[in-house]
Amino acid sequence: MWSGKGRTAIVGIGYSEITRRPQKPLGLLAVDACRAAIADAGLEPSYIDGLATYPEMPFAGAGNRDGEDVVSVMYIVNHLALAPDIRWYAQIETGMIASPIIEAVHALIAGACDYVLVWRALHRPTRRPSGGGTAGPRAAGEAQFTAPWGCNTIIQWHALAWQRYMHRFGATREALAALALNSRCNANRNPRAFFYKEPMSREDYFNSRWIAEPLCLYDCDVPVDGCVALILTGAERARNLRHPPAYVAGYGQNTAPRRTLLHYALDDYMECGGSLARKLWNSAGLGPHEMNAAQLYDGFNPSTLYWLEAAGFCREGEGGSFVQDGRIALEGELPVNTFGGSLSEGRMHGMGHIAEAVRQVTGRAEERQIQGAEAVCAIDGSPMLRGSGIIVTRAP
Amino acid sequence: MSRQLAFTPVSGRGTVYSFTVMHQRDVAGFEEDAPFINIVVELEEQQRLLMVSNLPSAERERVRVGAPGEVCFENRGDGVVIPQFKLVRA
Repeated sequence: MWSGKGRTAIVGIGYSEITRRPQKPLGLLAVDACRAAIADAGLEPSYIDGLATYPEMPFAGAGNRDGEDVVSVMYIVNHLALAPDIRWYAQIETGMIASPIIEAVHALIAGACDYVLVWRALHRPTRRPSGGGTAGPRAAGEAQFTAPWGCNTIIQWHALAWQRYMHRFGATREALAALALNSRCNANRNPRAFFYKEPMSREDYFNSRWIAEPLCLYDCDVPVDGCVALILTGAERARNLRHPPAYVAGYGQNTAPRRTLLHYALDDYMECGGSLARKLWNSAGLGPHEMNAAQLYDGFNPSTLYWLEAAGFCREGEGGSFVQDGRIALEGELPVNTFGGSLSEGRMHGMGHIAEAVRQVTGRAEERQIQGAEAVCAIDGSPMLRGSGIIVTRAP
Repeated sequence: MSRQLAFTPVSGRGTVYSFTVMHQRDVAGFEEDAPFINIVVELEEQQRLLMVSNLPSAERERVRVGAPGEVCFENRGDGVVIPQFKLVRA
């Protein structure tokens, strides 16, 4: 078990507006979220002496202008009156959404700073310059093996993997429908969710248009502008703040080598996802069956199913039946994406998953509260590609 | 796995490992082609030796995972020739 278990905690959550029609640039939405998180913790901006973010643009080829397309550490330093001396910061390139939190935990345990602000700001570009920036007559690098055939967007790769999954395990779109409907149902109890007031029926799901067959519109997250921010501190300080702390019990990041770089070969998902999950469970000394809920990334819907298997909630190939019969509902055996996921809350790229894990173990999950939630995991990324995850607990 | 890497001729035959039909006009240079089919072909020489290809839209009802395919070459003009795969009878 990891010696850092329970020594740090998430103590504040802040959301900006999540919208498809932003009235302000992304940088100012990020400032809104950061201010909200600091206030939620019961702190003042001047307490914040550590900063971490994963600022990557939403897809290859998107813009990279600070404050409009991305929000960097220096942007926040320039726009919030934080501690006079920022003692520590990190801007993560590898990994994913939990990765800056993992680094923040390390910094706090090392004594590098006292209060860390972590945020992730996501911009929805109005025009997708698509194809990994390979528009034009030439393609280089990995794209030379996909772009000449027009097969170089992430959703096409997910569609290929899901087609293969259905073939291999005899699964059907019913599995994805169950996940999408579960998320929408939960979002209808989450006032921050983009689809808070819009229910979805089974017919709505099956009648929605194809994006990349066999994936339809409702298998994709909602592209939005918005930001989610969190505050972390050491366990001692955490006990004296406004809300109960969500202790960081363990973490894992995906480090397995991929067997093909060309697209998401389905064959990698158990190994790659497993490399994250093993570290996650071992560090916390907890297993999948001790989780009171699982917040599993759903940038594209099949990822949640793959994570259920790769993280050991069910066996390989059994995800399709696992998600049926209410098992993943709020009152089910393993509630999944209790806040609506990225599919229905909006594309906060995994930060919504972490925020909800915190809410559940601190009794702050409103109408979605799972009674007696002691431990909840949040895992982001696609198990075929990369990812990071944490477990938060009610007790240290 | 050998560390001795070398170019080796292959037969150009394989089977469909997976496929997708792209409906969103989201792929640079292919906006007017949507919906269009992509297949991934696993060459018969080696497991997970995969190549991406297109299929004509008319093949939508025929394409399935495991269907046999064979290479052909498409002239895109300006001296650009790319390998494509077509479905063949088993």
